Amino acid sequence: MEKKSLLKVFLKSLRGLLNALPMMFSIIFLIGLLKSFVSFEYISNIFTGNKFIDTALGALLGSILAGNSINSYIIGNEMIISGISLFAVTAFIISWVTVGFVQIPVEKEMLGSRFTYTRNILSIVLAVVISLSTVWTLGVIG
Amino acid sequence: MKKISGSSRDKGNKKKNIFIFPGIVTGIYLVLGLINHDNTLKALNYSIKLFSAIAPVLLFVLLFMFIFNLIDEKKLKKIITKSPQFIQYLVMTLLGTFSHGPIYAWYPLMKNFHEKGIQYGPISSFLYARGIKLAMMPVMITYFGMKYTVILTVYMIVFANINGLLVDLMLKDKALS
Repeated sequence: MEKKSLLKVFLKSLRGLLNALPMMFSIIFLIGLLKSFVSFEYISNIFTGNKFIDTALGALLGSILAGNSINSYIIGNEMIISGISLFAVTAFIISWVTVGFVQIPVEKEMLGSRFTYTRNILSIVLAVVISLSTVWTLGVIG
Repeated sequence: MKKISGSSRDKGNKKKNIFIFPGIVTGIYLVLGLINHDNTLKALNYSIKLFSAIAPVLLFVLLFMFIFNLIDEKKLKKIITKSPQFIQYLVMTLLGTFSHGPIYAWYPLMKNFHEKGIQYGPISSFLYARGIKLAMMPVMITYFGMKYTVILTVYMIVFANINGLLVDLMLKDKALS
């Protein structure tokens, strides 16, 4: 590959990362506010302690929210610190990137409503299945 | 990997949009700073601490993004349209894994694939595999550890294919509704 096109690809990558930064900064600063004013302990009250219900709640929460996956890791980490189970956090992280309630109108427009609803509902169910499988596997491996 | 680019007007709107949320957060900080100075300062310090932990990892993210941007999308598209069904699941999962950018940027290409005879299943596999963010892995490892990241990634690759299979079973590839 030519030096010139490598530079072009690098600049494109750098632009991609820089474009993600304002949103990432905002999430980080918003977490700071939540930590100081609301506290994640309060948010953790939504979760019941039952791993199946919490996993489903995590999947639903991740489906509503959207954005760069780094933001879901940052929020997920704070959720763990607040005592929310890894089952719920994993489902949250997965559905954040695989389900898109916000994008449903566009997806429907491009790929049809039957496909859009089937795919999104299935993705929520699979977020729960993958979350349970991941944490159980992690427990077995140690 | 390259994604379909929008018009210059779309790009302009997108540029404006990325500053709306930061603007709102800055506004909240300013208002709260006036109401409760101490707590706002605490929030600011905590945020800076969070950011300094993540900053070095972003260099790895940039490196990964650079590597994935080198992949030729046209060649991959050629392979997919000529492959048998089960290979399509696998290739579309791979393609989804290496893709980046917002999901809606990929819908036109997916529609194009479907019109060229690719069933909904492989398209669903692609959209599901977009959840695997290889470029963001250094960040995930930093927060959740290597073991967790590897296990989750493997499951997501497997389930991206299962997702495609299930979608095909459920829809039996109906025409665009």
